[in-house]
Amino acid sequence: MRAEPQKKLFNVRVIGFSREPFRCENGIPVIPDVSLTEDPTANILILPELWLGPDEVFKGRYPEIMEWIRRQYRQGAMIYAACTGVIMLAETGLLDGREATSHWGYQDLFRKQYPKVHYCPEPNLVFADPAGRIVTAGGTTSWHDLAIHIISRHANPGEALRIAKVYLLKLHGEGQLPYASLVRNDPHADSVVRSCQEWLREHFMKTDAISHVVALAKIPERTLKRRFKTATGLSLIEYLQNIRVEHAKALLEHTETPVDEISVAAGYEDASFFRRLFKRSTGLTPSQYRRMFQPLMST
Amino acid sequence: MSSSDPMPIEVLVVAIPETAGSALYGMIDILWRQEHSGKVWCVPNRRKSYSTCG
Repeated sequence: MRAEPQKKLFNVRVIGFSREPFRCENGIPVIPDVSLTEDPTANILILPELWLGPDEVFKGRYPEIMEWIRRQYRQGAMIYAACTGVIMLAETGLLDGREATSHWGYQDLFRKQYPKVHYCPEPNLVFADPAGRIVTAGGTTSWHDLAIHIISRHANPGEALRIAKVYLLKLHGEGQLPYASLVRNDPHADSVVRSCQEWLREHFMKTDAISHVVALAKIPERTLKRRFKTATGLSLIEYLQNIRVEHAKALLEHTETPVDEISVAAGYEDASFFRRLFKRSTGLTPSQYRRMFQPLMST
Repeated sequence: MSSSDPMPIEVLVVAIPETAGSALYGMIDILWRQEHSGKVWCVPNRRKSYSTCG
């Protein structure tokens, strides 16, 4: 779409290590407008998503860029980071002791590599400080939310509404919980915990699954619970609940099975408890979840 | 822009080889199109000038 220009609110430029064109890891060519060596200043810095796996390490890369970002912040710039771009911001140290979000799949990366960051996996936008000088956004298309926020904040809400309508952008008001996979394959070295995880994945529907797995581990219950939390970041009961909710999510996505029956299939005879747990885990009721995701299976 | 218009806000988008190009240019596109989206809004809404939009 093209149209005649109106008032220019933003002067947007790309900054690279140098002005030399390069290709991003997903092959898209980038031609920086300005280089780091020119030491430009800005009112706003934006750190977009990185092409970086949840098992990769960003630590130690581009120290000159990290120093430049820190200096921009000290000089008054506002910083907006989206998705895995938040990893770059964490690398600067500016998120230490502060709240931030990123893609839900990078929770373990933050826990292990940036433990000083107070990682919030649920919301789609998080203010790191009361003044909102650093704002982080959640997974992938959450940069839409960030763009709406930037325009609303630095232009006005009416302009943000107009842009959202023109470009069919929407705020992900539901946050990231409905999208998040609750059971992640996070590798660790504790073989006892691994065998417990495997057993629970096979037998989660048993009502007395926890006592079974404690017996299986052949170590004191308190020790198992401590080691489980250390290895996975979750308590035993949280892990079991996550497996059960994931099973329920799959049934809601693929079948017309009534919610009460799904509750039993997931290991919960008390359907009202299951509904409360499901809502707490996904941010949605089972019916809302089905309405949101089942159509994707029929497209 | 008239001379009374405030200076535009300087925005720098940081690009490194690991950057997802689609997200980089998506954000630039929206912020840049903000300047150019007036007609798309005004024409279907039957507004006479951009100054009445929004």
